[in-house]
Amino acid sequence: MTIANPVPKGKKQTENPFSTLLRLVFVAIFDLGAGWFIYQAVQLGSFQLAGVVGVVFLLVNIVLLLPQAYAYRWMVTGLSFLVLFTIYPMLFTIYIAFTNYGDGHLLTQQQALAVIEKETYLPKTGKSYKWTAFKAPDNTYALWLSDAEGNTYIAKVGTALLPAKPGAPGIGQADSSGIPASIEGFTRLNPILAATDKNLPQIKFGEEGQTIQIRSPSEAAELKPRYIYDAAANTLTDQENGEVYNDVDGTYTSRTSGKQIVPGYRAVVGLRNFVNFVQSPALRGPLLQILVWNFVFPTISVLSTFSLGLAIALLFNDKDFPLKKVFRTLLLIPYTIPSVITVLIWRGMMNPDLGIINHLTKTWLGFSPPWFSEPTWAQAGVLLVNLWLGYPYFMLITSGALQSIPADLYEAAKIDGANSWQSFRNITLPLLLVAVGPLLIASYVYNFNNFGLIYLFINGGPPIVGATTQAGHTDILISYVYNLAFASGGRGVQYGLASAISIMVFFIVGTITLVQFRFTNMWEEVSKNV
Amino acid sequence: MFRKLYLVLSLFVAASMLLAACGGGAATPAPEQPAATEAPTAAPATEAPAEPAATLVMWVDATKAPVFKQVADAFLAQYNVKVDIQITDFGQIRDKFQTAAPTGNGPDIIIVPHDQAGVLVANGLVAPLDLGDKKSAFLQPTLDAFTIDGKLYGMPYAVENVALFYNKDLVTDLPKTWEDLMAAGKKLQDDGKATYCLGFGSPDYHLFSLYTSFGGYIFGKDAQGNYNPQDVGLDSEGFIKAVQFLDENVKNGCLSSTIDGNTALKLFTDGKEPFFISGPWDLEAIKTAKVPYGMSTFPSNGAPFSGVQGFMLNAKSQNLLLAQSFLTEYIATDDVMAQLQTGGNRPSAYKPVFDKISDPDLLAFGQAGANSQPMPAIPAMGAVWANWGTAITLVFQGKQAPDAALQDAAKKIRDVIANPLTGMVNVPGSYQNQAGCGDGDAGNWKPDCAATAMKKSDDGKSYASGPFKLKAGDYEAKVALDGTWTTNYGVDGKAGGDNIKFSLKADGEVSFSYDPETHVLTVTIK
Repeated sequence: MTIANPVPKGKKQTENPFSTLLRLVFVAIFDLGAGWFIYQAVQLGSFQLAGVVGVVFLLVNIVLLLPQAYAYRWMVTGLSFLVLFTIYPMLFTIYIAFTNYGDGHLLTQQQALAVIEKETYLPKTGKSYKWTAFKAPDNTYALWLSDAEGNTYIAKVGTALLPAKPGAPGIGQADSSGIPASIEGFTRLNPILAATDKNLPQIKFGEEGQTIQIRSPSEAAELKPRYIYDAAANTLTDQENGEVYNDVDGTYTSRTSGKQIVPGYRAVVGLRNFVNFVQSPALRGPLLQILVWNFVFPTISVLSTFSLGLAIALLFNDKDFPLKKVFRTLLLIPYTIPSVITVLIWRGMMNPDLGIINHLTKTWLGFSPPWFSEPTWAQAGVLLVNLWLGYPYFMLITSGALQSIPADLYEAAKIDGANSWQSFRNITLPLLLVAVGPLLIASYVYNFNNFGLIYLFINGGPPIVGATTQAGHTDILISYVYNLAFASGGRGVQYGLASAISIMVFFIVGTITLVQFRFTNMWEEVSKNV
Repeated sequence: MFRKLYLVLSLFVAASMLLAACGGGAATPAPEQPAATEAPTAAPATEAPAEPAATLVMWVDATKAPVFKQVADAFLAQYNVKVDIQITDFGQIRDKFQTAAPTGNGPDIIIVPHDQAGVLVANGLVAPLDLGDKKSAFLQPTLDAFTIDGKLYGMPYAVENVALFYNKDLVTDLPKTWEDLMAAGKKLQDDGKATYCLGFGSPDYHLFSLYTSFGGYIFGKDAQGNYNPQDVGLDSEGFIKAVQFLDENVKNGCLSSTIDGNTALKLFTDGKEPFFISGPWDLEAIKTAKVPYGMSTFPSNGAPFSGVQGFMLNAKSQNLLLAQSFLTEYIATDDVMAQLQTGGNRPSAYKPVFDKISDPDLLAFGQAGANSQPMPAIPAMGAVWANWGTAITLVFQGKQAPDAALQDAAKKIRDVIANPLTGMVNVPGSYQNQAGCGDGDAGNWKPDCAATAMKKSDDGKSYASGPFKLKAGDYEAKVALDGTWTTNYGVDGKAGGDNIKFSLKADGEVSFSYDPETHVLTVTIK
């Protein structure tokens, strides 16, 4: 890169002082914002996100402040977005694949500890009371407490509980629930008004060592924190019975009783997600069968949509075709309707009891295809719907590509005595594939992961008999994984597992694409020789 | 001229960068504090200042939102506390809450069905709540539904269960047994008046009452009355009988071999189906269709599943006390609970309202659910949902015999519940970091470490592991089964007993053997 510094040194001095100022102000504002963001991310325990924003932060600062990086100023926005929205999600997915992130391990360690440390318990000697809050003009509180035996007290911060009775000096008369209407210097609050102060539950009433906190709208008690965290050993100790909980893969587990503290947190578990997916029969299921269908489905889809699209395009390529525009417009309609709607309409039309298609086949052929219960029919149904959805695309593409094939080639072929099949086979197809080849691959890759169609039309069904997991005859990898990791797969949401499998799917798709690009190179060779 | 252009250009670039920076900040999930962080003041309500004293955010679904909006307005007027009602699809509330809550951005209050409570608690996202004196005003089973490990996590407001709808034009005598029901349906079918005998949405949830009539169950109960995930009843005798009964009726055409709730509803509202099992969610459609419908309890004393809907509190909420007070002091009142019942089409979980139900449909749902069983809220239920329906579908499609299909499904469920390490016998202890289980303390006391897992002897009567090369020192260990601490044995084979101690005077080799009968671990030191 020799153009790294296209600005001659002398020119730098001509930079307008105003624009320099503007640049510095911008950098300052950006740094403030990014700094605040990083601080918040660290607070939440999202260190990866903080790191990535840190990288963007450095990038922007270096590029905007160093004169040597002048040329990159134009690119810095794009680069920042690349880091934030492409590279970071990819790295994050890879990281997640090595963790147990999912139900039961949803929080970061800090977040989980914050929840656990909030837990309190009432020691055996501790007492609990019903409370009513009173407030003084200087915003200090007093509580009117009554215990189970009917004793009543006034509690203030820093002093011991004061036994008190309604009607005593300085205390108002009791209302119907036995609570005084007023205490000298304080006004009574109703429970909801008292609760609008979110600091109230944090206030420790009573004297040191025997403090009382509000636990709920009806209870205040001598609460103690239940678990104490030892950061050095990464253990929690239960204050109630002294049990020690050690960290086992993101769950604090007692070594003596095996008890676990909820919630667990997100922990790195190494290759477990990958190994489990390949090894465990409860996850793997009929993986091979799904994989085979996963290759068959896009292959047939691409071939069928391309063939039909090309056939129609060839038909319309004939200048004398009547009402060409009308037909072409009509044939494009499937492409313009959102596929979500189309798929659901087809689903309705193929309904064995009420669907129009099955109604027609029943009347004419005396047979109602079991689209949703027989494996072969289900696969045929999916392919049929995908043909409907996909052919207009190839019709459009090939119509364009056909125009670009020089007409003199055909004339030459005619002179050489070629029939129309020969000229299609030897001129149209090879030249067309040069232009359309990459699109075929794109379509193949798209259909390889065509989750929407499979999920909406049939949700992978009908089920495979004897499969060890919930798997169906039309399940492709991505829909199978969805059921396994997100939907009703029985394991709850498992981001770790899903990420691990998505990485495996990435390698499969990547390999296919590479191999197919080899083929396109071959087509390019063809075009050179023509 | 050139300078001016340069100035304009640099201004433009700076502005565009600023814009871009703003865009970036907004698009990434910014960890904002919830809206309710203004300095809280317990201002007397009578003054009605412009700023609300606090804000509660609540996620409810669209059908209940109008009721809550009214409640919120009244609450604001009375206490100067704003309740921000945000509409979220009922089925999506849990998912969205799980995404939003850990960041501190979640709502203070959500409404959820009780069978999702278990996962939310396991994820540490919801706080326990205390209904105080109001507790006795709720139907006890609805409170039980939200009680997890002895703690109450939700305030119930409605119960829902399915009932048996029937077409009054087609059915005159209500069937006493399922056999009667199918026979009545078959007769109508033969007369050309009905397409199928009985319609239902799904073969698992909707038909649960039929399985119970035959003695089927999902999970057995342990001594404390909690569902026991180790006792899966899907392949129990009663369950198989029930499915065989269904299978016969599919084979003779009484039931459709394709299960599709929408088709079933359409056939019922078109008057082509005498019986239809469904819940409050289809009531509106049935009413609109003007089909002469009646509702009844299930034949053969069948017990449907019941679901309880309730409020739960965000563990990260800044306003936990206020949210609780709002629920117990304001929502749990006759007035609001009655409005929720009418708006939601489901019988109330609040006794004073439940006792006064006059609407015939609600009454019918209440009667059909009188003997209902709460849907198990244990996480293992997920595995059941995934496999139960599949098994019945395979039977309906004639792919598998009832017993085989149910045994397969039960096995799958047991596999998921058991975890991949079922059957592992291990000796977790303080020696493990020298046996290849990891470094330092983190490498010790791991019941799932493959490097120290024991191998079964050929006669299957004992397990052995080692020898492990260990440094001189004192060690402790235990026996743990299935890769977890759930079942573990200590000194003298006592379940959950003390750690087994052993020490090496010099560096040496240690092997373990374990007797599955007596649970005693023998340590051999060389």
